[in-house]
Amino acid sequence: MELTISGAEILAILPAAILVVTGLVQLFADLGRSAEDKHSEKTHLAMIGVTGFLLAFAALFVQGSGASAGELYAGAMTDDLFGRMGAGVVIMTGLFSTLMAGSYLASRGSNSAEFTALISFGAGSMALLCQATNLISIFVAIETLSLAVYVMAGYFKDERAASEGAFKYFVLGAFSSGFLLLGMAFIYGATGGSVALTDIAASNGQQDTLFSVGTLLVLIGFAFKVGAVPFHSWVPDVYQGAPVVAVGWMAVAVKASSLFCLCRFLLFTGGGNDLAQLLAAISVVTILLGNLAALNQQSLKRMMAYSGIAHTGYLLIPLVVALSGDGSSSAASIPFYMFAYAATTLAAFGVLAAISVGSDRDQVHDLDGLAKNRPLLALGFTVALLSLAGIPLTAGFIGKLLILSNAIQQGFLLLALVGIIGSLISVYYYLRPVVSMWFREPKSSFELVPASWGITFTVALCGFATICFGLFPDWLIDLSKRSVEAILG
Amino acid sequence: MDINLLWIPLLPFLGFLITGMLGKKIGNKSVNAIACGLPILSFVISYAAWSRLVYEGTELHWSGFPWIWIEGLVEIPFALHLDGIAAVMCMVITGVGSLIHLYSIGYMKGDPGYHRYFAYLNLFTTFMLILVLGDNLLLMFIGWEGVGLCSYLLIGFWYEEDANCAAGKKAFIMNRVGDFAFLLGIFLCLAHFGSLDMSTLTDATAISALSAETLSVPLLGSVSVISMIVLLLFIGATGKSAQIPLYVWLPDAMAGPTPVSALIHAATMVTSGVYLCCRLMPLFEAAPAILAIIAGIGACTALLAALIAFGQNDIKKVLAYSTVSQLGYMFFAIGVGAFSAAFFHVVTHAFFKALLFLGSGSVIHAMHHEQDMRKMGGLRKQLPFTHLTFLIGTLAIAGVPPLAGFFSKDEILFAGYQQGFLMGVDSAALFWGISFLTAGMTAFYMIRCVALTFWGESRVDSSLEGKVHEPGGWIGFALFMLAVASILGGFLNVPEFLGGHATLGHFTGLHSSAAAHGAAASFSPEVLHAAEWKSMFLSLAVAGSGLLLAFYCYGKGHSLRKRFTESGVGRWLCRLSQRKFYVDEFYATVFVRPFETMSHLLFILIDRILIDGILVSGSALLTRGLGNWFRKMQTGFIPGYLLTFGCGVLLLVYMMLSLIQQGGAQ
Amino acid sequence: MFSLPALLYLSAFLFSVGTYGVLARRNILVVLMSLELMLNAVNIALVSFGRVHALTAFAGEHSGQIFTLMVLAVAAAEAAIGLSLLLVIWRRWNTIDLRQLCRLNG
Repeated sequence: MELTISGAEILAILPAAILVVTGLVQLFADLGRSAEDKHSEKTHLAMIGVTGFLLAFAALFVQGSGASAGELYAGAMTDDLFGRMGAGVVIMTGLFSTLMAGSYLASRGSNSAEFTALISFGAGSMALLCQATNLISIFVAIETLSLAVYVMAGYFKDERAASEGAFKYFVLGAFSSGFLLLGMAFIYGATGGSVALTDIAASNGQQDTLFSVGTLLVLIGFAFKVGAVPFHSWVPDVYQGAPVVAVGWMAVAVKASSLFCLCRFLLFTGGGNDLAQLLAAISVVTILLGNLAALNQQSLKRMMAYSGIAHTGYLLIPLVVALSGDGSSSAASIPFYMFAYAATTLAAFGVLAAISVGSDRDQVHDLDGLAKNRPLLALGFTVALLSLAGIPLTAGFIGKLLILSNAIQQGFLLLALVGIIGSLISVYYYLRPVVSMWFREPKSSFELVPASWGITFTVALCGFATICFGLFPDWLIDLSKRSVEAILG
Repeated sequence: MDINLLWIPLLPFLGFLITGMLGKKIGNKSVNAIACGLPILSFVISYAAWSRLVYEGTELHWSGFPWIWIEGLVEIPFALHLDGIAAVMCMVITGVGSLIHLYSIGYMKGDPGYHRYFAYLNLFTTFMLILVLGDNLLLMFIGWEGVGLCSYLLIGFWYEEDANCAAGKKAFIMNRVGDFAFLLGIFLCLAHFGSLDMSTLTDATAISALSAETLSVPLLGSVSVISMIVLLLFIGATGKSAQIPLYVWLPDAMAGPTPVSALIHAATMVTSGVYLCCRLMPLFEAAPAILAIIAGIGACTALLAALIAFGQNDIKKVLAYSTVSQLGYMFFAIGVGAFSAAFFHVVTHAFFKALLFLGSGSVIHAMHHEQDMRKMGGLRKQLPFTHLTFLIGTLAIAGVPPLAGFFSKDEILFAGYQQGFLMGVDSAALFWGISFLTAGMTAFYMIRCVALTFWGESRVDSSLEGKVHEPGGWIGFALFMLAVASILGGFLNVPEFLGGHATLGHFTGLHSSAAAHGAAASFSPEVLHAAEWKSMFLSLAVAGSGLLLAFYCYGKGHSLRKRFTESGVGRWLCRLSQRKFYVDEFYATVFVRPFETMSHLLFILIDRILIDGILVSGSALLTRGLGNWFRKMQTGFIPGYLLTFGCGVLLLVYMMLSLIQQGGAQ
Repeated sequence: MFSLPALLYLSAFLFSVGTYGVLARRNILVVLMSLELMLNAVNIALVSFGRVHALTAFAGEHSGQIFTLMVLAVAAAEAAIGLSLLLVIWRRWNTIDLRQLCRLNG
């Protein structure tokens, strides 16, 4: 085994390394000050974070110029377009979350460097997860990102809801890790001791029952991370207890990196028709339960949680189609959908952060008359909700269109039908806040602290991106297609 | 100087935008300047374009941009084209239109919807110009629908009254029937010509290439494609140009402000069906069977409308039916192949009918919105100028030489005479007879209208005594200009046997009769001229007798009229005419009521019970119930969550194993 | 020296015990211990697979053993987080009963 590290290997790990260093710098920059000024906004942390994320994002393009597609670090990770796109989603999400964190946390009197550092560390491991190509690196990356997120979920440690949510997340997460690991052990055993995905794909253990069950268990581990039914129980409770910014961060980044990794894993290992059928069942139940349970939520965070579950369901559809033999063309909708979902969700959580600055508002009726007080925020939230509902001219519409049209083309009519029914149901609860914002009178007691520039900027930019992806989706679709083709070689 | 055709419709559109959006803020003075100034500017450009055409012979074209563009399949540009017909139409629309805009300043003074009115009027002008200039059928259709929309908006302009709204809706729906056929015609053109460009549709080789193709149509059997296209386009035209069977909306459309009636429902929009036929002349000429139908419909419409006009007491209704009748003339002309005469009549009719409407508007304005002629009479003294201009219009429409109507109507009648008697087509002879009679009737009912309104003893309500004044200003100006046009308009196209040059006919390139291009020059000029003299003499005679009879009936002694109306047949005929031959009632029983009953039934069955009851409320209840159930499953207990998780794993593994077993068993 | 099936049975037994503990116990501390047990049960399986497969194609890399070491490290970090959460809960709620944590629901 070579112990020297090649240039390509350095380039491959560069984004993650930059992010980890960023986190460390943030921690050190805040040394000795955290105790007294937890109420200040600490712009320097955001600046360090933004610099780090921008550098890491730039590093993605540096990678792009290298011709290294082969296995790096003895097959532990790769450096392809697919991984880079996943890392791109994560890095952009981290950037915006960092921008929003300062003012939000300061208003709660608990702004310290740990939060932004945890975003940076988490982003690092997520970037690695998107590039991981063997079971060990996948496991390590997924665990490290989970640990970071557990802590963020319970960040307001003086609040009961936060610690309850965090603990639920932790126990269920560790429980699912057990199954994930068991599944990996099964695969390892069934394929004659291979951990690298290429070796697994090449081995003759694929027909083994042990292998199938192992794949299923790994799938369950990922299903937990993305919040698919019946492994979704944690989602609403954690979303409600955790800081809004952390929720936005994990709703996008955890889901994106896990899905990118799951997609790579399934495209490599195959898994066959049996797994596709189970995945289809999961997808159907997820879409229906997510949308139905969101219907009567008064809490916006819980509503977004169930909406997130429903979107996981939509995202599983292309995986089902891909597993049943279609391969790349349907899987290509996943990167696009993730980009769309990231922009949309960040805009939505930006608004949630803005209205809960200063006090813990997250009820639908708290939005009454927002359009009169904060037209920009109301507009951003409206765009985000319309995109989530899949209304045309938005990114969400194109994403859903790609997924459903692919499913219909490949003959998965039932799956597409459930997707459409789910979307129809979802319009109701997505439009409720819109009605509140635009057609209700503001409450007399309604007092909004002016949103910080970071939040306003995030909402504006992400709302704009949502529209842009909706109007000019071609280049992104093209990129997604090329990235999926890159995995399959 | 280069003239961009786009400016012609764009200027009124700008006017629409400004007056529509800022009208309230900029005040009525500015609205006047913008809403009237821009159409006048548009007229100037049209004039410039026209003179280019006259002196340099260049047909202006604006190639625009690709509009509906599927490479190799459907290629429809957004392009404008100005040929002779379009140039004349543009001048009429912007010229008469501008006068009516100016007239409206006086007429609409103090109306709360002042700026809204001018915005609509400008929008109408825009669409009308697009209709005329559009270089393909689809663009023309945009204008066609747009003018329909504006007509609807302006008929229901005083929307506080239900009757006005109902009239607007009636016009809109009637037009939809025709538009549907028009649209089908467009599709058929696209399918068979592969293009909607005017140049393709009028191309002789393209038409002759299609002449052998047939379509099998339900009820009609095998029909040639060209005939079908022409028939569908003509049905579209019957809607917009108020022909049998779709004419009933036009009299009701008089609910709108009178200048609107003058502009839209007399001078411009309603003639767009005739314009369509003229623009597509080669196509129409390729379907002689349909042309015969067109001639019949035109003549019958002319007669029916004239008969109804006898019994009307509302001054605007008389004019409305006279419009329908004159439009019938135009279609009769097209039917006998006299496209040039039809178009000539469009132009002269625009002058004198606008004049008549504006005159009636002046009366109505002076009478504080009284339209019933039974409550007028003797207005000549109070409104001498209006009386004079109205009389000019009446004599013009009656066909008294040398006013405008004389020349155009004479040409139409001659075309029918020529086809009926010189060429020996029996149906044409019959339709000529109908039209010939109608010419006399026109003279009669128009004089009746003048007599009831202006002559005789005053029947004006005593409360209005002394309040009736001649409206001055812009109203007078517009009346004056149109009166001049009505006197001189006929000289645009003086026929050759009277020493003229048929200028308009040559300029537009339209054929003056079926003979001119078909059986053609088989008649020597001497024979033709003799026939022309004869025809002219006949039409003068019939118009004259109509006039004389009317003078006699509505003059000093009432005996003849009294004796007629009190006789049994007379009373019956009067009732029939007054009730418009019960056509509205007929439509109501045959179409509207059964349709309403059916839709009500379907509303109860499908909408209320099935959709609202079962599907909507039912599914909403179901989803809500399920949603709440799912919510309650989220108990918050960690052991419960863990158990769900564990059971999920077990269930999935079990399903996996059984699937594998199934696969193995196979 | 144990045979592979025997080692796997041991692993399966320990995993089941861990799962049972997580599902059945109400004491947070015991639940944490059970979670560790689940991970370590899998470790046994990994190591034994690794030993058996040492003779096959992908030998020499000892990947099973390496995997185990990684899992140990992760498990340690996880335990640290779990314990700190336990402390937070003890301070705020004054209980370590899993069933008490049910404020968030619906």
